[in-house]
Amino acid sequence: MQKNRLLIVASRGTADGLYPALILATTAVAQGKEAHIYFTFGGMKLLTKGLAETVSPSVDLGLSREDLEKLLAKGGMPKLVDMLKTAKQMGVKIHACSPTMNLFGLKQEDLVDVVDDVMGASSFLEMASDPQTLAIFI
Amino acid sequence: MNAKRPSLTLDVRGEMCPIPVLKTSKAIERVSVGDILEVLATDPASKPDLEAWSRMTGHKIMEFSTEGSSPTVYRFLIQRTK
Repeated sequence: MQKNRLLIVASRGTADGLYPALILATTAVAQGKEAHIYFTFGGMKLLTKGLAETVSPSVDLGLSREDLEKLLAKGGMPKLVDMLKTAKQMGVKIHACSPTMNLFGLKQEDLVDVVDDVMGASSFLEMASDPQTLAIFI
Repeated sequence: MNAKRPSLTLDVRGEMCPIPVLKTSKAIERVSVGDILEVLATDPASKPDLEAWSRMTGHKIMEFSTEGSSPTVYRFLIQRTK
Protein backbone atom coordinates (compact mmCIF):
# COMPACT_ATOMS: atom_id res chain seq x y z
CA MET A 1 0.00 0.00 0.00
CA GLN A 2 1.24 3.48 -0.88
CA LYS A 3 1.95 5.78 2.02
CA ASN A 4 0.27 9.04 1.11
CA ARG A 5 1.65 11.27 3.83
CA LEU A 6 5.27 12.35 4.29
CA LEU A 7 6.38 13.60 7.69
CA ILE A 8 9.88 15.01 7.95
CA VAL A 9 11.71 15.93 11.12
CA ALA A 10 14.07 18.82 10.37
CA SER A 11 16.39 19.05 13.35
CA ARG A 12 19.49 20.65 11.86
CA GLY A 13 19.94 24.40 11.67
CA THR A 14 22.15 24.39 8.59
CA ALA A 15 21.38 25.06 4.94
CA ASP A 16 22.43 21.53 3.99
CA GLY A 17 20.22 20.20 6.79
CA LEU A 18 17.16 22.22 5.77
CA TYR A 19 17.21 22.20 1.95
CA PRO A 20 16.70 18.42 1.72
CA ALA A 21 13.66 18.65 4.04
CA LEU A 22 12.11 21.38 1.88
CA ILE A 23 13.02 19.65 -1.39
CA LEU A 24 11.46 16.35 -0.31
CA ALA A 25 8.34 17.96 1.15
CA THR A 26 7.62 20.10 -1.94
CA THR A 27 8.28 17.16 -4.27
CA ALA A 28 5.92 15.00 -2.20
CA VAL A 29 3.15 17.56 -2.73
CA ALA A 30 3.96 17.63 -6.46
CA GLN A 31 3.47 13.85 -6.46
CA GLY A 32 0.06 14.23 -4.86
CA LYS A 33 1.05 13.38 -1.28
CA GLU A 34 0.33 15.31 1.89
CA ALA A 35 3.56 16.65 3.40
CA HIS A 36 4.49 17.88 6.85
CA ILE A 37 7.74 19.22 8.29
CA TYR A 38 8.26 19.16 12.03
CA PHE A 39 10.98 21.70 12.80
CA THR A 40 12.86 21.01 16.02
CA PHE A 41 16.09 22.06 17.75
CA GLY A 42 18.41 23.72 15.18
CA GLY A 43 15.77 23.40 12.47
CA MET A 44 13.67 25.92 14.37
CA LYS A 45 16.10 28.66 13.26
CA LEU A 46 14.34 28.71 9.89
CA LEU A 47 11.02 29.44 11.63
CA THR A 48 12.41 32.17 13.88
CA LYS A 49 12.20 35.84 12.91
CA GLY A 50 15.66 37.36 12.64
CA LEU A 51 17.40 33.98 12.48
CA ALA A 52 15.87 32.52 9.31
CA GLU A 53 18.06 34.63 6.99
CA THR A 54 21.23 33.74 8.91
CA VAL A 55 21.08 29.98 8.37
CA SER A 56 24.45 28.93 6.93
CA PRO A 57 25.88 25.73 5.47
CA SER A 58 27.51 23.28 7.87
CA VAL A 59 31.30 23.31 8.18
CA ASP A 60 31.58 19.93 6.47
CA LEU A 61 29.85 21.24 3.34
CA GLY A 62 32.86 23.54 2.95
CA LEU A 63 31.04 26.46 1.34
CA SER A 64 30.14 29.93 2.56
CA ARG A 65 26.48 30.94 2.60
CA GLU A 66 27.09 33.37 -0.26
CA ASP A 67 28.85 30.74 -2.40
CA LEU A 68 26.14 28.16 -1.76
CA GLU A 69 23.40 30.67 -2.63
CA LYS A 70 25.21 31.56 -5.87
CA LEU A 71 25.55 27.91 -6.86
CA LEU A 72 21.92 27.15 -6.00
CA ALA A 73 20.65 30.23 -7.84
CA LYS A 74 22.39 28.95 -10.99
CA GLY A 75 20.21 25.85 -10.79
CA GLY A 76 17.03 27.87 -10.29
CA MET A 77 16.85 27.02 -6.59
CA PRO A 78 15.38 29.74 -4.34
CA LYS A 79 16.92 30.91 -1.07
CA LEU A 80 15.96 28.91 2.01
CA VAL A 81 13.43 31.46 3.28
CA ASP A 82 11.82 31.64 -0.17
CA MET A 83 11.84 27.84 -0.46
CA LEU A 84 9.99 27.74 2.87
CA LYS A 85 7.38 30.17 1.50
CA THR A 86 7.03 28.08 -1.67
CA ALA A 87 6.54 24.96 0.46
CA LYS A 88 3.84 26.72 2.45
CA GLN A 89 2.10 27.97 -0.70
CA MET A 90 2.11 24.45 -2.13
CA GLY A 91 0.39 23.19 1.00
CA VAL A 92 3.23 21.71 3.04
CA LYS A 93 2.18 21.81 6.71
CA ILE A 94 4.71 23.58 8.92
CA HIS A 95 4.92 22.45 12.54
CA ALA A 96 7.02 24.17 15.21
CA CYS A 97 8.44 22.28 18.18
CA SER A 98 7.20 23.48 21.56
CA PRO A 99 10.11 22.08 23.68
CA THR A 100 12.59 23.95 21.45
CA MET A 101 10.57 27.13 21.91
CA ASN A 102 10.72 26.65 25.69
CA LEU A 103 14.45 26.05 25.50
CA PHE A 104 15.13 29.31 23.67
CA GLY A 105 12.33 31.33 25.25
CA LEU A 106 10.53 31.75 21.92
CA LYS A 107 6.91 32.85 21.76
CA GLN A 108 4.46 32.33 18.94
CA GLU A 109 5.01 35.94 17.82
CA ASP A 110 8.75 35.25 17.42
CA LEU A 111 7.98 32.79 14.64
CA VAL A 112 7.62 33.57 10.93
CA ASP A 113 4.04 33.58 9.69
CA VAL A 114 4.17 30.32 7.73
CA VAL A 115 3.84 28.20 10.87
CA ASP A 116 0.61 26.15 10.98
CA ASP A 117 0.87 25.08 14.60
CA VAL A 118 3.09 24.40 17.59
CA MET A 119 3.27 20.80 18.71
CA GLY A 120 5.25 18.44 20.92
CA ALA A 121 6.48 14.86 20.96
CA SER A 122 3.08 13.27 21.60
CA SER A 123 1.40 14.94 18.60
CA PHE A 124 4.37 14.09 16.41
CA LEU A 125 4.33 10.42 17.46
CA GLU A 126 0.59 10.13 16.87
CA MET A 127 1.06 11.45 13.33
CA ALA A 128 4.12 9.27 12.74
CA SER A 129 2.27 6.16 13.96
CA ASP A 130 -0.33 6.34 11.21
CA PRO A 131 0.31 3.45 8.78
CA GLN A 132 -0.28 5.89 5.88
CA THR A 133 2.63 8.05 7.04
CA LEU A 134 6.24 7.81 6.01
CA ALA A 135 8.32 9.55 8.69
CA ILE A 136 11.94 10.47 8.08
CA PHE A 137 14.61 12.37 10.00
CA ILE A 138 16.93 14.85 8.36
CA MET B 1 -5.39 18.17 -34.72
CA ASN B 2 -2.16 16.33 -34.04
CA ALA B 3 -2.76 14.37 -30.81
CA LYS B 4 0.85 14.82 -29.79
CA ARG B 5 1.10 18.54 -30.36
CA PRO B 6 1.81 20.20 -27.02
CA SER B 7 -0.54 22.94 -25.91
CA LEU B 8 2.08 24.30 -23.51
CA THR B 9 5.88 24.13 -23.25
CA LEU B 10 7.72 24.29 -19.93
CA ASP B 11 11.38 25.18 -20.32
CA VAL B 12 13.34 24.19 -17.22
CA ARG B 13 16.70 23.85 -18.94
CA GLY B 14 19.46 24.72 -16.47
CA GLU B 15 17.28 24.17 -13.41
CA MET B 16 18.19 21.55 -10.85
CA CYS B 17 16.23 19.00 -8.85
CA PRO B 18 13.52 19.46 -7.58
CA ILE B 19 12.56 22.49 -9.71
CA PRO B 20 11.71 20.54 -12.93
CA VAL B 21 9.25 18.29 -11.07
CA LEU B 22 7.75 21.16 -9.04
CA LYS B 23 7.22 23.29 -12.16
CA THR B 24 5.89 20.33 -14.14
CA SER B 25 3.29 19.63 -11.46
CA LYS B 26 2.15 23.26 -11.64
CA ALA B 27 2.28 23.45 -15.45
CA ILE B 28 0.19 20.29 -15.93
CA GLU B 29 -2.69 22.14 -14.24
CA ARG B 30 -2.48 24.77 -16.96
CA VAL B 31 -3.34 22.37 -19.79
CA SER B 32 -6.75 20.77 -20.24
CA VAL B 33 -7.34 17.11 -19.41
CA GLY B 34 -6.21 15.09 -22.44
CA ASP B 35 -3.87 17.83 -23.66
CA ILE B 36 -0.10 17.61 -23.86
CA LEU B 37 2.54 19.45 -21.87
CA GLU B 38 6.03 19.60 -23.33
CA VAL B 39 8.90 19.74 -20.80
CA LEU B 40 12.47 20.59 -21.74
CA ALA B 41 15.08 19.87 -19.05
CA THR B 42 18.81 19.40 -18.64
CA ASP B 43 18.84 17.99 -15.10
CA PRO B 44 20.26 14.46 -15.57
CA ALA B 45 17.79 13.22 -12.93
CA SER B 46 14.81 14.61 -14.82
CA LYS B 47 14.03 11.32 -16.61
CA PRO B 48 13.84 9.04 -13.54
CA ASP B 49 12.29 11.84 -11.46
CA LEU B 50 9.55 12.73 -13.94
CA GLU B 51 8.87 9.03 -14.55
CA ALA B 52 8.40 8.57 -10.79
CA TRP B 53 6.17 11.67 -10.69
CA SER B 54 4.17 10.23 -13.61
CA ARG B 55 3.66 6.90 -11.79
CA MET B 56 2.62 8.68 -8.59
CA THR B 57 0.22 11.16 -10.20
CA GLY B 58 -1.04 9.15 -13.17
CA HIS B 59 -0.19 11.84 -15.74
CA LYS B 60 1.20 10.00 -18.74
CA ILE B 61 4.59 10.44 -20.42
CA MET B 62 3.65 9.89 -24.08
CA GLU B 63 7.06 10.49 -25.55
CA PHE B 64 10.63 10.97 -24.35
CA SER B 65 13.65 11.98 -26.39
CA THR B 66 17.10 13.43 -25.89
CA GLU B 67 18.86 15.99 -27.99
CA GLY B 68 22.47 17.15 -28.19
CA SER B 69 25.20 16.89 -25.61
CA SER B 70 26.84 19.09 -22.97
CA PRO B 71 24.25 19.62 -21.89
CA THR B 72 21.89 16.95 -23.15
CA VAL B 73 18.35 18.25 -23.41
CA TYR B 74 15.65 15.85 -22.22
CA ARG B 75 12.27 16.36 -23.87
CA PHE B 76 9.06 14.96 -22.45
CA LEU B 77 5.54 15.01 -23.84
CA ILE B 78 3.19 14.52 -20.92
CA GLN B 79 -0.56 14.07 -21.19
CA ARG B 80 -2.75 15.42 -18.43
CA THR B 81 -5.00 12.52 -17.46
CA LYS B 82 -7.22 14.02 -14.77
